Amino acid sequence: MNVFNFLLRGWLIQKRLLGKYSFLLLLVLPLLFAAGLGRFAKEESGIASIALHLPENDPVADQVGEKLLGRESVFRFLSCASKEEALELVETGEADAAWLFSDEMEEALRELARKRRVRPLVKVVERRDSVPLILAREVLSAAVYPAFSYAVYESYVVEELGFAELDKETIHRTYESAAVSGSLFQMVYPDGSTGETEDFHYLQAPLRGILAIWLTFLGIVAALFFMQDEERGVYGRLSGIRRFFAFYGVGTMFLLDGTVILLLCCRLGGVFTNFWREVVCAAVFACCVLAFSNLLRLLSRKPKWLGTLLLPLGAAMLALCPVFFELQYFRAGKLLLPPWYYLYAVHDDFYLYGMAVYAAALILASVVLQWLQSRIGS
Amino acid sequence: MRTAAEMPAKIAIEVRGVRKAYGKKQVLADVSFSAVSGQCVGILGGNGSGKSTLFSILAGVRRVDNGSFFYQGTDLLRHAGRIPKILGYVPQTDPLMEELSAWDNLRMWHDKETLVRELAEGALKLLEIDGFLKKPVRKMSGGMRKRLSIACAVASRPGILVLDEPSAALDLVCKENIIRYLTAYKEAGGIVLLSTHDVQDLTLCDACYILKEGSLRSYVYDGNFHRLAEAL
Amino acid sequence: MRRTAAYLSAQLKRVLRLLPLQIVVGIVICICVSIPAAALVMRGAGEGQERYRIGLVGDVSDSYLGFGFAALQTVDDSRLMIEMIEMSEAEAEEALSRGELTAVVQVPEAFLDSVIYGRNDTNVTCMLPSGQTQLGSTVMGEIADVASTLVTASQSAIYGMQRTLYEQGGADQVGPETDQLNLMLINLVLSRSGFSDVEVLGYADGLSLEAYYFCRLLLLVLLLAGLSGAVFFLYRKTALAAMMKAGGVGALAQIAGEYLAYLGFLCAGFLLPALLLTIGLKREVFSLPEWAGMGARPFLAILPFFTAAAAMFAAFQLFLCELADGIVNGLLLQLICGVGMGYLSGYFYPAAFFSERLRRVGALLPTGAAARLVEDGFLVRNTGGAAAVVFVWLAVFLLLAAAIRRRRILRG
Repeated sequence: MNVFNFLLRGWLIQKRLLGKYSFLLLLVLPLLFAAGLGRFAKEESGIASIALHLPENDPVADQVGEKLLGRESVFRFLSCASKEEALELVETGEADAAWLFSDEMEEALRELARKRRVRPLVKVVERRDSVPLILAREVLSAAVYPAFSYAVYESYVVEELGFAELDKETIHRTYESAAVSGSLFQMVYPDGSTGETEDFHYLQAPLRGILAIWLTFLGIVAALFFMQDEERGVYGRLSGIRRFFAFYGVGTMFLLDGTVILLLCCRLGGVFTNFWREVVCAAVFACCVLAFSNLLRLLSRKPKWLGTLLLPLGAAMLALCPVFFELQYFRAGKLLLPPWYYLYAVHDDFYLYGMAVYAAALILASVVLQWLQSRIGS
Repeated sequence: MRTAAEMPAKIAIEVRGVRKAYGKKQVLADVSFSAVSGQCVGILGGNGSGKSTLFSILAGVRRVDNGSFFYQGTDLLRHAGRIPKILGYVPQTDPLMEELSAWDNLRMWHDKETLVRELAEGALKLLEIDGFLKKPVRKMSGGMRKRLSIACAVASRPGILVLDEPSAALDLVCKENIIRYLTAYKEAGGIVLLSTHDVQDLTLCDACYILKEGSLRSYVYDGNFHRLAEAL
Repeated sequence: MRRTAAYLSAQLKRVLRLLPLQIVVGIVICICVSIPAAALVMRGAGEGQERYRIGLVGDVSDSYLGFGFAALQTVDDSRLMIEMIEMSEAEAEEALSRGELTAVVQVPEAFLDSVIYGRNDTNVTCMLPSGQTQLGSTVMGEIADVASTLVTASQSAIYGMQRTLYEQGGADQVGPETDQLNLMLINLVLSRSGFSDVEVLGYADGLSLEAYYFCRLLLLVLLLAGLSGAVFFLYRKTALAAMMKAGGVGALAQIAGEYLAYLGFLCAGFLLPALLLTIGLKREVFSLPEWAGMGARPFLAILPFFTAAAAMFAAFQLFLCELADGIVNGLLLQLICGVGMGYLSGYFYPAAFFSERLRRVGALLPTGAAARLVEDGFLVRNTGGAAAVVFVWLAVFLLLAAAIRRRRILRG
């Protein structure tokens, strides 16, 4: 078959697919989902909602408030005018916790610093204690601590070092001139990159995983589509190995559309990294999905059985691939699922090569299976 | 088989000025014909000429843009609720439930007593359904499926039987079986409307029409296949 | 009417024929439910048990660092949240790739000197898993921020004190005073949790996390169960629909008949999982905090709410299969809609994680309505409102399916 014929057949399959409005809907829905997620993720949200009540006209409270409210965080802080309002938010379930700061924060903090003690400055009222709220309290401590350590420094200079004659402004100026800032930590991925996108939000995190599962299903749908055509006798004149290539031709058309949509969705959803990296990963992933679907087609042999596989396969992918959470067990099961490789390959060449090797192994297995089936059949 | 005595003594139908368009495409422009008890009307036409549309309109499946279908003085297109009792409709492709047996499919249309009686001496006996009564539809041949489809359609003992290409892709024995049944149905006083591409079916027809460009034109088949092909 | 009943009866017969397959599906559902359930149990989803596991790589033999990390694991409050495991670089990378660690913290040799001398030019590297960024990775960023703030604020106080001494002519005192202030600040950092006085109200008006995921996971399985219902829609024929219409059974009656049979088909698939759950709860193989010591009674009490949700989801699946031209597209539509809507309604992450607007959208969706109904049933609240919304969605899906069927019949 020459290139022109090949392209013509590809175009005819595309025409057949894109002529079905529900197939178009299948391509449009992920785009809408990704765009919606990208937009909604920018709205205020958090893994826990915390109602804050800070006293007015208190410099320390202002400083803490600024630290909490004026930064990007996985927590959602709700500023409340009164303690009662904050407590009501907790009682009604609108907030998971309320942080009620002492009325005289500055004075109380100085007193504690002088005594070198830590005593409650914030009343925390929680619906139920949880790991996110423990983390939130760490954030609270980190917000209070700079003011506290400064107060400790100030009292240490005056009382322990005996420089009582130094005025507050001098003490402050000296502190500022020696102050250290910046992060001591650097977040990196195994490939050395430092993050997906600048405006990445945790709500966008599952998007790539959902899309990976979707593309895998698209591959299986291609297999079902091909099997239905087989039942109608469309490929009746093709021998085993030719039929094998015919499936790859049909599947490529499905996955070509799917891969383009996957890349567009990553872009719209704000999880797109590097152009070439994304394209290469998606292309290898599509090949892997194609080989995976073909093997399932050959193993199941009837659309009915392949259809029955969809539910367990979907559940396995949701549970074993790092879409919503990372499971530490069932590694052997994970190795069988193409999305698992893809989700790691985005940041790690090792998994990209692993995915390519897995795809090759799947193709080899399906060639052997096709050959065995045609021998048994004949 | 329903006997002539069970049917209205003399029934007559008249299709008048039926029009149907899909968007800008006028499929049926002005279709009119009539038939009486014991008659078979054959509608010939090329693929896409509107035969199935016409039959589905008469069966109350699709809506008509304009026109009437009189049965004993009642316009059935205005009183579509009466159609199921008067008319049996067999679509072009089989309307059977694949997982169920012939018996189960028939039970959807017949009550048990009628079914037993019809199998013993009625329409179902003529269609030779009892040979594959327990067989699941998915394992049936095309001929079995077509006979079973007709058997389902005649359940309500209709005076009119509308068949959309009843003999398409069937073997000679099966065609013969269906023609024998339809002949008996006519003789019992029923009216048969059928669309066909098969000249063998025309032996059954008392009147033939060619549906072309939305209009019906009377046609008499003289045994010359080429002339018929040209007329289509 | 008689023919409509006959049509329903025929559809039920189809269901009976497909029953063996549905029993297999029931077993599959059990496996499907048990995988994520096992995953959650193994992760220690029970609150207070889940900790972020961090691999510690690098030289921590220095007395300062050694003391610091020992303190983190023994006296610091972060031990409730973080588990530090010292390991070699190779072990850590392997464990990270296996998903056993949230992150690997690598302390470079020059780090301590850099901190002590206030240069802060050597960073601790926090290596995240190579997969897509997840919530765990984002939380790691938050933890790193906290740690950085605590260290840099302490450093600032110490360097401020040192500079004061230099400026005021007390350079000879710098060494001992630094040690003293340093120890003082370490002590204060370790007791930082004392800044807050925590009062826990309990969860009288909300679900525990275990109960939340129990309900959502079951709903998710019900939602995606349509994928196994493919076989029910496999041999759908327009010719049958047309002949039924000619026989006096209209589109709505056809859809109603198919819907009731399909619902029975789905319910048959859930008998086994429901039975296993009942036995498990009765024998206390597992339980939920709210149901402790109550056996299977509360589960049996909320089963009707799950059934109502299943009834609505069945209508939704029927609608999608009717909408799609071909069963293949119908299945994929079910998947994308199910996962998408489930995500927005908090079936994967708790709904509380979302913004206000997204939460409202999620609650309005059929998945959100079903979740609310089950949640209200679970908490023995008034379920009237939620049940009405579920019923409205059910009716909408059936009417839409009937409208599409009618169109299909008319178009041939």
